[in-house]
Amino acid sequence: MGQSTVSPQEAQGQIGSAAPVAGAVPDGDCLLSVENLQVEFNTKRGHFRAVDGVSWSVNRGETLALVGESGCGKSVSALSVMRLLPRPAASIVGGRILFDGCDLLAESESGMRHRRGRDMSMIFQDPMTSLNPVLTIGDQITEPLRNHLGLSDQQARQRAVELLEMVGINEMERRLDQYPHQFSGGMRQRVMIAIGLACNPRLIIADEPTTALDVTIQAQILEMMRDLTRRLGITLVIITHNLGIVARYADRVAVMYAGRIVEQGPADRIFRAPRHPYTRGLLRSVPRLDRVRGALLETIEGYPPNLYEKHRGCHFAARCELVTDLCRNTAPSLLAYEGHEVACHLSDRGLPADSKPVLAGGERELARSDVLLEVVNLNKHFGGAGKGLFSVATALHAVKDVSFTIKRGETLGLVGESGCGKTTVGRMILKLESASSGDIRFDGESLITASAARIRDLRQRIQVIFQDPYASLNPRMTMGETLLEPLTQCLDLSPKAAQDRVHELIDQVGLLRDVKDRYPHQMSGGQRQRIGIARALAFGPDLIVCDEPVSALDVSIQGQIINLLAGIQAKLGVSYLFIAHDLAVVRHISHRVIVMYRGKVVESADCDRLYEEARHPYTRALLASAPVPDPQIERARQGQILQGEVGSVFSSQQGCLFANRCPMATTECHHINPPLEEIAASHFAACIHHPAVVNQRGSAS
Amino acid sequence: MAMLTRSFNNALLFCRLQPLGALGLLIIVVMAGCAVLAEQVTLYNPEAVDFGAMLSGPSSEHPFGTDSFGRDIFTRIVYGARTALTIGFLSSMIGCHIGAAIGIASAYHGGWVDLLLQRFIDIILSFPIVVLALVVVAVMGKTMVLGIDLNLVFAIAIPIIPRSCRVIRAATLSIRTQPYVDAARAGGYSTVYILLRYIAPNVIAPFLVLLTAYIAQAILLEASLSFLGLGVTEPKPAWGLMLAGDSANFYNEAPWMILFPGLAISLSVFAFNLFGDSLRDWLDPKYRN
Repeated sequence: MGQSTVSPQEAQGQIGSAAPVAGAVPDGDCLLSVENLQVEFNTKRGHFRAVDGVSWSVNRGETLALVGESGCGKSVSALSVMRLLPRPAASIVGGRILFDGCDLLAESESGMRHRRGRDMSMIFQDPMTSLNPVLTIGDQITEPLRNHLGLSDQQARQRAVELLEMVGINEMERRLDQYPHQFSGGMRQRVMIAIGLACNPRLIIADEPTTALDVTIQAQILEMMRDLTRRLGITLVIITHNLGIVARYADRVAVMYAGRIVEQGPADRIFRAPRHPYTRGLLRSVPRLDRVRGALLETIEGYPPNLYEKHRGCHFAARCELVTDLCRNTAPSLLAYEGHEVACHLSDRGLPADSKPVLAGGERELARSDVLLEVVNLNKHFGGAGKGLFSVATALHAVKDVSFTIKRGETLGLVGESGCGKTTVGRMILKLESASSGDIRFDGESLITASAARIRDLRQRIQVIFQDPYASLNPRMTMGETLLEPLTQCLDLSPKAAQDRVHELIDQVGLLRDVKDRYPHQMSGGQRQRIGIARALAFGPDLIVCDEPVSALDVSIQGQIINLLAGIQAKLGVSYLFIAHDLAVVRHISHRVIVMYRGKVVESADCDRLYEEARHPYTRALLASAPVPDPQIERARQGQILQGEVGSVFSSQQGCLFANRCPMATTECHHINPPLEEIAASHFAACIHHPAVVNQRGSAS
Repeated sequence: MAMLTRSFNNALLFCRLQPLGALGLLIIVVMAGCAVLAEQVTLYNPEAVDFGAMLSGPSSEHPFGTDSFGRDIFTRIVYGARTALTIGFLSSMIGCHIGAAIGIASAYHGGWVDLLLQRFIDIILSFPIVVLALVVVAVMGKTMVLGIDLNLVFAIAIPIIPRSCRVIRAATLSIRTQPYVDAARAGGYSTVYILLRYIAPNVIAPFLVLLTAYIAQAILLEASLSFLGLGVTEPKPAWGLMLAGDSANFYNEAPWMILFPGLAISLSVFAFNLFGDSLRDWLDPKYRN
């Protein structure tokens, strides 16, 4: 195609010179523009407008990020471009989509089929389900080449080899004949990208391309996507909820809220001087690694509007601090201000200075003596010797010699990538999984040797909050029944006392009492998670195992839940085992943090110390891979990313498990199994090179 | 009284939200009513032979025509509803419930219990349905209670058990791993409580579909057994028997001999399916706003 790559500076220049007209399309080199798009959904529950007059455009060679929370219409507006909306539920009721000057909505279905995969291709979120499991990778990559470009089998295969090389997969010839299950998640996403690139498309739409991947793999994939699109002059539209990714990779940003665009413009401007209160709130509520840790996170209070109901005014009005009567009654239109576009009645007045300064130094003090939970050399094998008649004996050593303690009123953060065994540790403490060896002592009493009757009593004192707030509530029970159950089943309260307690619990988690009669599907994610917390509290526990409690929630809701958990701890003195993959979230709530890798603890330290002076190379790679929502920091940052992928959990590897990915590994590392050593006061790391880590860090800075 | 008005209101709401289900229920109620009041709604004796009216087509005297013995087909269908509905409903209920209980227990407990139960189920499954029912009937003979052969009911219920068990086991396996079940276990509730409150209500959807589908299967199975002379025997009227008997010899001369019993079976199956589907949606809080 031979388009020249447009640098972000040039792209900005074009926006800056655009006339300040509502919904203005940047002139000149526009490849795709969506104009006043309206999409409606007809579902069993009713009728709603998922996308309500949305306009965005992207120039050739540029990277646009569509940002917003779940249900804001970002995916729907991108699927409309591909004309892949679910039928008959969704229908486009208005607007135009111009691709290279040609209206895609007027295109015939066969014309669209011709374009998909050839002019424009799409990369989906979940690489595990978007490849066909019964076809080889080679078949799937060559498919578009044979269909769209009419290449012969041999030509197509040759091109497939090139493509695999381009996306960084080695041993291309051999890999082509393998099936998707022989690839890891990150590798599958590379294959998806190779398929997307196959016909040299002019546009790639990537819908949350790395959300299902671990943070170190995410960094690899995004770096690669950016390099490829720059090199080949491909226009990229990334749909994401992660502001860090936006800051790192996008030239321009469109922020969506409840079916409308609230703000769009060059990434630098949006991050530096957001004008819409929602954008600003979103940027502030992200827990960040590069900022001082405050006692409370800033949040946007309230929940997104229910789109089944009609709203007259600004969709954000109900949650906005600056709301006026005008906002409640008239929807603002998107107008240009100083190089970017904002849909807010108050944008010309500018936003007031930070109304809620970050509370620093409000550290919760602990009486650090009383040990509540002690985990000693905990191990877990799955499978093991074949139990059933025909099962194959494959031992999976999921948790290896894990030890830690949690004190009363303390939060212990347990961090690691998927499959590192962190959830299994939590499940063993909850007795949902039995330990293979080792001991768990709760309040001085061993959970391993306790009788079944005793376990039933102890269970009330160890409670759990799950990741998916929807799946963790019985869909056939109302919230009132869910909360009443522990009170009448386990605590034997009288009906009257139980009712009062239910009200108290609902108040405690900040919900209105009328949620009592609702079923899970009638509430939003954040509300469900609050009920999940209330259910755990109903038992009056001493310890709550929080298994990724905020990772399924939107950014603006995440902060609310973390603040709620912190507040409950301050008031009731419960302890948390906080399991998560997001380092920034863990940092915010934990007193101590443990990092796990492939079943082993690699580092543990007090929270602030770990983030400031991480000693293990894996911890440091994790910290470096997490993008921060600030374009200046992100662009200055060298792409210091971890190579390779997490090894198979089945392999019984000698030496340090991290050695094959470690940037500082020596031959010794492959032979010596590093013990967890105390390298400073209550700071442990399992790396034979940890002093060198410090030196390297010292010389680098 | 308050309970009465509430259930009446609920019934009204059901009719409004699930009109098709209400139609199904209406058909079932009419059929059941006919079965109970058979003497009142028919003019003839179902077993009375009338060689003068042999193989006569539908007319004002015989709305559905007569069979090769001159018996009135409408009368025989009405009386046949007794057999069909009782045997179909009872055996499907018994078979599906036992199957579901085994399926839930097997899936929830897992391990060797699951292994043993499932192999036992495999053994039952390996017999063809008719052969299995045949053996049961042949071994157990007849036990008549209120004009219904109970052993026939069991003979039809037994082949339903493994089929229902398989489906419910699969559904339970996926429900069992849901976090809300883990939450209940972490709450220290007893296993029986979890099974009744958490697992059973969440497998009700496939269960109701099974239940209604197997009512139809049971009616057909009863027909096959009757055809082989092991179910209901002549001259007692039964839908399956009417289809299977010597009506096949006369399908050219007297197609009504097959048509009307066949319609009766289809209509009852259709009604049960309609009602079952609506009941499933009705019981799901997601579809009841």
